[in-house]
Amino acid sequence: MGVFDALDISLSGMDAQAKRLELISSNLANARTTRSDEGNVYRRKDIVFSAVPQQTAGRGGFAGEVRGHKVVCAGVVEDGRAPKRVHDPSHPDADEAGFVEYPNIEPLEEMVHMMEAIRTYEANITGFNTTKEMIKKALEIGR
Amino acid sequence: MSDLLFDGAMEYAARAMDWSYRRQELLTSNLANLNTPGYKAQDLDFTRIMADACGTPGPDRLHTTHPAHIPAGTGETSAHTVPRADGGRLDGNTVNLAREMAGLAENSYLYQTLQRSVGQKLRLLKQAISGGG
Repeated sequence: MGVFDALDISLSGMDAQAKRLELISSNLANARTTRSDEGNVYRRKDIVFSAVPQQTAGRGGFAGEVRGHKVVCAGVVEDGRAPKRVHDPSHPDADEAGFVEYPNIEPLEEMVHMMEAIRTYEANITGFNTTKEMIKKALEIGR
Repeated sequence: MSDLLFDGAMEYAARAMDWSYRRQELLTSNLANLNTPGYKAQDLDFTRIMADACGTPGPDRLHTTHPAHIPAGTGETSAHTVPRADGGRLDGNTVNLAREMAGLAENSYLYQTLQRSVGQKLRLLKQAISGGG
């Protein structure tokens, strides 16, 4: 844990939210995608965050002391919700009964998540800038 | 002889700056983990830090009985970190965005105040060295 680790923590928060935004964009872009490499219909994707303790380097009696938590992306999960079944016999992916399976994606839900991700990203930028100002101030001592 | 210049004020301010910076690390962690389910917001327990700094005996503290003893526990962040239990969300996360932002502003001003006081002390020293010139 050094002086710049507080900046690293803020960066990890920004990075995590950026990854989350990628998945949200992907969900919105594929709201009506009926074909994908994993199977037939696109499934809504979500990110799993995990807090990783930041410890001091092995020196002196305080080695291994936890001084903050970075956030990391622990993985991407697929939503288990059943696809929406829409009657459209002319669609090439329709089954024998004439139903097409569309991804169960609610644009409103994705927008709410997007807003949350953007706000968290901004909060981390503010955190980064305050830390930066503090380091700058410390460098001014004795000037 | 007056100890106006070397009264330890600079050392106290420097130590307070260190704590302030440690609080910054915790506050930025809270912001980074704003969407981590189950994450408990961390903050420093200044009452305990103050008690440790003043050498107030506590039931769970180790004491030094010899000048060569190394004080245990003092100065360690983990020992002075308290998870905030109130205001939890449904996912078990207790980070409160407004509170973290307020803490960030508060902490930044505290740090600047301390930095300025160290600077003033140094300026005093400089003035004394140069004979007030």
